[in-house]
Amino acid sequence: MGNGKNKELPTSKIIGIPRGLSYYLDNFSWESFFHILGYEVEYSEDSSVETFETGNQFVGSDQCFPVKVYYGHVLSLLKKNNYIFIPQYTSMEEGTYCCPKVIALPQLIKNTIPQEINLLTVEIDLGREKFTRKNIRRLAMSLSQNPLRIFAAVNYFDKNRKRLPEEISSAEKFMGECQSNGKKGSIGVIGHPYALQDPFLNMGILNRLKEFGFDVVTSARYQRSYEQTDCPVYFSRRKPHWDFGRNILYAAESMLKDEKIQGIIFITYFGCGIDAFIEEIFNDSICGQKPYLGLTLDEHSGEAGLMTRIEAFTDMMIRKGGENRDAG
Amino acid sequence: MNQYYIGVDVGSVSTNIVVMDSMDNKKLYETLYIRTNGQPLESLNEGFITLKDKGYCMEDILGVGVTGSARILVGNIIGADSIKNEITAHAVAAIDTYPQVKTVIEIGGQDSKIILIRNGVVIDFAMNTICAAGTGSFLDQQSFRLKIPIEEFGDFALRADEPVRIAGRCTVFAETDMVHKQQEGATKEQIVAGLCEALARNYINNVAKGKSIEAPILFQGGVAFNKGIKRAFEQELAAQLVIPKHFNVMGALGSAILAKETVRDTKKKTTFKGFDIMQRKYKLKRVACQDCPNACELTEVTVEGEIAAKWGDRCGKWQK
Repeated sequence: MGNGKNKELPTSKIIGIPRGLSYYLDNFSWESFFHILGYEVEYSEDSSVETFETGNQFVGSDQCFPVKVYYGHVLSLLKKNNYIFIPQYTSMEEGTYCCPKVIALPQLIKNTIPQEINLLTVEIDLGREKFTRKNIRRLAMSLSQNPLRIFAAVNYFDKNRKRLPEEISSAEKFMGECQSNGKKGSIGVIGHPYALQDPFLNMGILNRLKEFGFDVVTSARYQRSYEQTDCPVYFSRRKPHWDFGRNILYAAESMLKDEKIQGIIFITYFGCGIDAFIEEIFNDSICGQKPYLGLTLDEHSGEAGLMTRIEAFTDMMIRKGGENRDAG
Repeated sequence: MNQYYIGVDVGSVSTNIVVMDSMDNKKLYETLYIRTNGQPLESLNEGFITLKDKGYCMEDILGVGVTGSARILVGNIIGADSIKNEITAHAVAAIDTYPQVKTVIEIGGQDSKIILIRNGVVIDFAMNTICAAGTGSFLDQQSFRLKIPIEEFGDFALRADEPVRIAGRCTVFAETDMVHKQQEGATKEQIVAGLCEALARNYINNVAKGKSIEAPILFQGGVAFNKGIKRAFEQELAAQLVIPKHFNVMGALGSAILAKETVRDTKKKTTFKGFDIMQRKYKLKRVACQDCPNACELTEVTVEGEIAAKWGDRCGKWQK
């Protein structure tokens, strides 16, 4: 394993990874991968209003909020270092695709930020194994001339690649373990991985729910899709086309069946094409069976409107649970 | 000697205050409905002066509850015992006045909501999302444009023999439609009736989308005064709507009941600061917190030079 002190490589030894969108999609450690090749990784800082505002100057106005914040992450890294790694996830398994904005991310960034970027990217299509492996090898070769390191890096990817689709989960990420101290019950929160894991993007909803005394179970705790052997359920509809669309539907359906989960919140962003389709599918089935709250967030989201809805939602469950009231 | 609970609902269009008997939730001594006119504190002060003039004194007030979009601001200033969102307040009031209720339709100044209740418990609710079409503010604006006092809006609608069809999806398009239909010779009555139908349709397709609306249905909020809207809803839903006696102050009534519950549960004396509190010199300021890159905008309330409350931060450190 490389230790980052290898002197045979001339250019900057530090690669920046923006913490947004695709960063949250996988559990694969790009840091270890780059370490093997002799590089250090620098992550961007936590998202904040500043991140958003820096990013917003360069993004077209029709992009969604998470993309705007992603731009900010890239720009903050560019201040220190111009080697940026943006993986291009096109698909997480055969027959599904990522969101078009995630797919286009490297090109989008390269062509809209008017600053010199040494962009490192690699197309990852997990439905096409050979193709992806070739891409990874090419990336490794562009970063090192040492055949051993290249071999080790590709090997590392091969071994850990499986983690990408399957273990998009819990413990090591922001959410942490599902706490068992929620006296008032559990709320299921559904959303894309970045919406669940970045507290700036979700406006701290998960923490708020915990403050109100609820357990939070997110869609990240569920598989991305039904296993192959299971017949596809997805609310008796055709399998959706999108990776995380499947995860969202699967999570929604599982939460609906799970008696411990008393209510479901769906976090989406204004202008999200995938969610516009997906929400329609589960919306009708959830309504009437479990309390459901759909939250459409955007950069303009006022705290007041959001809090009113969350408060009303938790009140509803508290009062329903017989614990008749809650001191305001 | 009578003792009371006070409920305050400071909304975008009106500020409502009720004075409720401490023993009987159905007995309201006062129901005030004051236009907010963009100045929540002034309108509340006006209400408090009225109450004081009528002889209510602070010692007889057992608790105060606040709701409405300005609830945090107002609640902090007057020392409310309970600060609750509008949905909970409306639901509590609806269940209290009409225990069998299954659906509450509430249309206020800038938002409209549907609350589903089964066995006296809220099981689901929805609010309008990004568009304010179909709320009181829009009706207000149109009544002004048509030069019909808002109070007569309903009567106008009922007089129409055949309403014209108006797009209710968006207020801008609705207005375009109304102008167009006027130019084609539709009467004011027909237009008003068409507008009522459009709002009811919009509400059912948007706010109440996918919800099962079961009778008994309670219709509350300021817009419930409008008989045209009531009729449009009844036609659309093929069911009767019940309009509670205090339809326009249900939010305030609910917060009075919530205050009663809170005081009873915590067994503490009320934190209400009295009717005169609004007359003191308040200064509201929006300040930016510079402690982290989030640069939250805080609201700072100073009373006679002393910082009384501060809120609006993401991290919560100023609120304590």
